[in-house]
Amino acid sequence: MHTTMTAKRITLLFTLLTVLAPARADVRAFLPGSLAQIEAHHRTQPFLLLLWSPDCPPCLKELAVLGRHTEHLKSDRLVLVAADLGPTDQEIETLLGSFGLSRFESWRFADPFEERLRHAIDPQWFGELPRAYLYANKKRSTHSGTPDQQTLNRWLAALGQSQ
Amino acid sequence: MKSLFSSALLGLSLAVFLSPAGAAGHKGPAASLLPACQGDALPSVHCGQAPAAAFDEGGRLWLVFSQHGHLYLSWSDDQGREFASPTVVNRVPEAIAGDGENRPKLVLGKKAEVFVSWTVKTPGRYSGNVRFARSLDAGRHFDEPLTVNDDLALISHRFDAMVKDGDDRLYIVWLDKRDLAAAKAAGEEYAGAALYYAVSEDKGASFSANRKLYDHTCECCRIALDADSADRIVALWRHVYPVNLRDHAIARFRHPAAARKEAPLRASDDGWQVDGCPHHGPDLALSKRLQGKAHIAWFTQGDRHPGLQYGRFDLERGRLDFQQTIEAGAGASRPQVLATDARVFRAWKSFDGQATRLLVSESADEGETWSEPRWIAETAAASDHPDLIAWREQVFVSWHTQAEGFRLLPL
Repeated sequence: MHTTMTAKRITLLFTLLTVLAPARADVRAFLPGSLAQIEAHHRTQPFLLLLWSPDCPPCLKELAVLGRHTEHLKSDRLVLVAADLGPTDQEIETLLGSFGLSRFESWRFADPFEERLRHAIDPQWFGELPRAYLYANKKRSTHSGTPDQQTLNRWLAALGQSQ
Repeated sequence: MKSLFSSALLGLSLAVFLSPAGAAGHKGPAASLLPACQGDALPSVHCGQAPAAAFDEGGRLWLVFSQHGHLYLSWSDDQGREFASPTVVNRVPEAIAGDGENRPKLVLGKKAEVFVSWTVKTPGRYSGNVRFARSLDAGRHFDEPLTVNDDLALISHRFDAMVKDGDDRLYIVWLDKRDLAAAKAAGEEYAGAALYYAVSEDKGASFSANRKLYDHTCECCRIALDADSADRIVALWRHVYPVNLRDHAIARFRHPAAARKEAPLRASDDGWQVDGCPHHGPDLALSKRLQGKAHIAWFTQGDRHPGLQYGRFDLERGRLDFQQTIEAGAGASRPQVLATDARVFRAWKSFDGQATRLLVSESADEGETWSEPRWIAETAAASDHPDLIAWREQVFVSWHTQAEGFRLLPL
């Protein structure tokens, strides 16, 4: 009986989730080799790699700004990585959904040795968040903190979205 | 002791079912890799998280650590080789913040008192309360924990720090967002959080009403505290100077202290302008030999001096005597500083792409010159922040690592 109830609840929960978040993307586990995978997958197009955390107020400010400005951005131009071991996939999905960013590729740190993950992304990165890497014109440029309007416009132009 | 240990076990089994997901909060440290710590391991200094260590006057090492929603207290009479069975601090499990920056604090009294403070996660984003529990019988029994912040809105009252002055007043200082909440409600802007404190003048039986010291602290970096010989408290924290300059502020105060309108004294002026979260707070140790001088260590990415920094701050003149870079590379982190009667010590971590090394250096001339950095331990997995502690002139680094457990490393 208990098993049946649990199974029913799980089915109901799953149905609700499916109905409420149809565009929900899977959150993938970010490991030391993941950056190479991302770079290989996106090598033909410019893209922005954004590292964020639910526990970082400026990160959420940046996600809100991106949510408002990326309506017409192709879905392969933004890759979001939660650089935080704490949150569940569900928390990440819910947050990104609330900013209208569910259609973009999403990852989260999955190796407790965070220094190693940060080093694999950028040996020069101290771990401050948000941290953005713009891959465009065969080079990678870096930005720490939320972007000002000028930086945001530069990113969007490089990613192929007209203002 | 036996019944307490049973309570601990009961609490532990309850915690497995009751403790909320992410009990350690965001930025939770890694689970131990030690075989003895797998599954529902019993409370142990090696399996637990975010330990805080201190020596009492007799040289006994005391350690509080977090495991399965409980804080536990243990002690060692052989400098950390063997530990006594832990006793539980909070019998009802709660979502204890147990990461590097936001972690339990331990202060020992002169007469077998043990004081513990911590942050508990409350529902909502960035929210938490400052909690406190005391034992008057060397940790055999802890009173029911109490909540120190008198604003109980589901907002941030977190990043507690605790210190005792020479007259047994116990201060808890933390980062509080009640002023941010009020500003938001009024439709106004407010940068960062605020520095609040409460004091207990009855050995932790109760705390004063909360008092604000300064507005506009950075939101998620630890606070460093020390007490001087005149029973004044010195606090060092990352501040938000206009606009988004996340340099450090320092203040000296004594209860009852009034909120200050003016910006606090600037302890570091590196010009780090970022609308972001460093998650990397400072450390502080008052000089034992030079009146009004503070040894401070911090992290910055300001253009002027990036990396781990050390400085000696003159509290009378309100400025740094000098500043030095400890290590400038991105792999360097978590600088600690400690002063004994004769020497000053620095400890920090340095990651080289494969392993994290623990480095120390020392000064015999109050920070003017330092020994070459010395590597005393390393780990090839995740590691906690190191901490410098002393018993008389003997200095140690307390370090918890995922692969090795808790270590007390003599210098």
